[in-house]
Amino acid sequence: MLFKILLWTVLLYFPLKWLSSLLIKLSIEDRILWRKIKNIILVVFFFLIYSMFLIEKSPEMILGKFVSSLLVAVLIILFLGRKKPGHIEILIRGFFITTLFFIFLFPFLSVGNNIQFKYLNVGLREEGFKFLCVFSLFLIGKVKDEKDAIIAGASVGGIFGSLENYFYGESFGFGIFALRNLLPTHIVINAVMGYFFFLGAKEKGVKKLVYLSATIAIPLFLHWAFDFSLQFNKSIYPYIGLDLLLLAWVYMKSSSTLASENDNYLWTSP
Amino acid sequence: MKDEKRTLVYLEKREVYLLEKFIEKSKKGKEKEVLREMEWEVKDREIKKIGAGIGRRAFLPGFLIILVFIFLMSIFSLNKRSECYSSLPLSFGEKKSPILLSYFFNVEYLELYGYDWGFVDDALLSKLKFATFYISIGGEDREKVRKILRELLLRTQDWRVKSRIFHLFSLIYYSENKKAKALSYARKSLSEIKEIKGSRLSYDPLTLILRILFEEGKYKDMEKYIDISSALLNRDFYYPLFKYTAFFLMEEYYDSPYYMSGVINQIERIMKNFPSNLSLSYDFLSVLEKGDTPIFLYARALVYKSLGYRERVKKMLRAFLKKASLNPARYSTLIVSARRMLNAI
Repeated sequence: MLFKILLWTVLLYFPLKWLSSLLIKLSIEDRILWRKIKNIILVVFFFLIYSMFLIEKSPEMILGKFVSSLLVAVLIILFLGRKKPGHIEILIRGFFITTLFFIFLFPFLSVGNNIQFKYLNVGLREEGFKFLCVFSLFLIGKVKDEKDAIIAGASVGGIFGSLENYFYGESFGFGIFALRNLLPTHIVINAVMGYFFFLGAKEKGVKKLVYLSATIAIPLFLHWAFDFSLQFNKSIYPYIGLDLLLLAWVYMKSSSTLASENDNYLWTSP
Repeated sequence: MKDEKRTLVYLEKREVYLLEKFIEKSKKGKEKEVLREMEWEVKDREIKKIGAGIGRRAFLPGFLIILVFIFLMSIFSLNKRSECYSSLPLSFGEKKSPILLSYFFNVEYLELYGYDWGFVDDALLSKLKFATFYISIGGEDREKVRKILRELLLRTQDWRVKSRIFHLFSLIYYSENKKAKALSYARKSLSEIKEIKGSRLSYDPLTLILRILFEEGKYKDMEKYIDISSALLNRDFYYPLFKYTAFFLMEEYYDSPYYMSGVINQIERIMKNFPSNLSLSYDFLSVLEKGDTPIFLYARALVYKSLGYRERVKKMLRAFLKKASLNPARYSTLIVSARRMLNAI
């Protein structure tokens, strides 16, 4: 086992280094980023070893599926947040936090089979878990405005979705794996969640209550709608439409050129 | 106050350091580098202030939301939770591992108890579990089980559950020595599984079909299922026990060296892939001790070797050489490798 791990560290070192250098080129905050990338490498190995134990398959298969599902999510998030340099750092933090939480809370997510509250129960578990991740991104102090909040939510959702897709792909085959990868469900749901949570934290009075209840209710409703539409063959199409519509809304919110409060001293590039 | 003082001292130190650096670099004409760093310093501080402010403001509402989530979860899964946890298997099949380990590292657990079953409610699942348990301990009141299974068949539309139920039916008929019916039900359960080559649910019906066909002497019919199973074997490492049952059945009547080398290759491959998995090798041993043909002996030697029992390896290899010498043409490659192993020890 130890030999295997060593072998894979040696094999993966150069591609990961190349990838990190590419990321550094993309972002401006290169000083801070290098440290984060080291963390990512650690987390990838942690996940790899964990899934090797869990599924007992060869690492190249695990990596292939995991990385391919992750790439789609990362591309969508980069598309959403390409206008601000700090977003890549949020993405990386989100990756770190979500994967670690996922590893420790995975059994908690997978238990629960009662039919009467099936959709609500699964939705509650997953959304609660993802809210924990988004909340910890807030607590770290990485979120400064609405766009950041949206990207924080989207990154947590995207990474959670890719982890989930990976396990779905293991048990249901390639077709469902590919389909689930192409649907940005988790990304959209959590972008909305992050947006409303930011507003709830910021505003005061009745507005605060409304926004905070929206952080719970809207993601839960969307998740429930997704689970419900998966039940029947043709009801997935309206949901795909809803998904794309929400993605457009999130894109509009995250990349609008209207200046927000903090823009003056955050956006000037050196 | 203390914290503020500390941060002030830190900031002063940092600024002094930056100034010194600036003076040093300006001698070489590289002021711009330090200036950029200073700019970043200022920006970092401002960003940290804003982020920390929002984080602080978000703390209470976020905490409250988590409480709400926990409250809702406890409402929606209060009735069934205790049942779910009480159904955790202490030991599954022949493997005996502590709860936590089996919970984390046993895929069988995940598949049978909730992960792979899709949309099954607890009552149905518990009935199915009862039926499997009843059949596995050899319960006598089979009509009762059949009744339950028929009820379940009417209630489900899930192909996984259906295939499982058909498999249980076939097991019952097999135990009653009605082999034709058992065969037809096993085939039904195979046909319910949509991707035979991918799904792990197909192992059990496949082994049963192979066993029945072998017992009835229909070797030609076996070939089709052997092809499916060998495709499975190359894909999946997790069910080595299945490999054994399938390959040993083949070994009994196939004289061709192709299948011969297949068995040994599989064993060696498994031992290479799981060198440190003790429970797996003991599982192998429990299967291998049922047979006395040379191939069983050779396989036992391999497993003992991986476990580190030198003397037993020697003993097994000598027994293998004795038996194999009766038919040296068939076991020629194995004899060579066994002699090599003996010399190495």
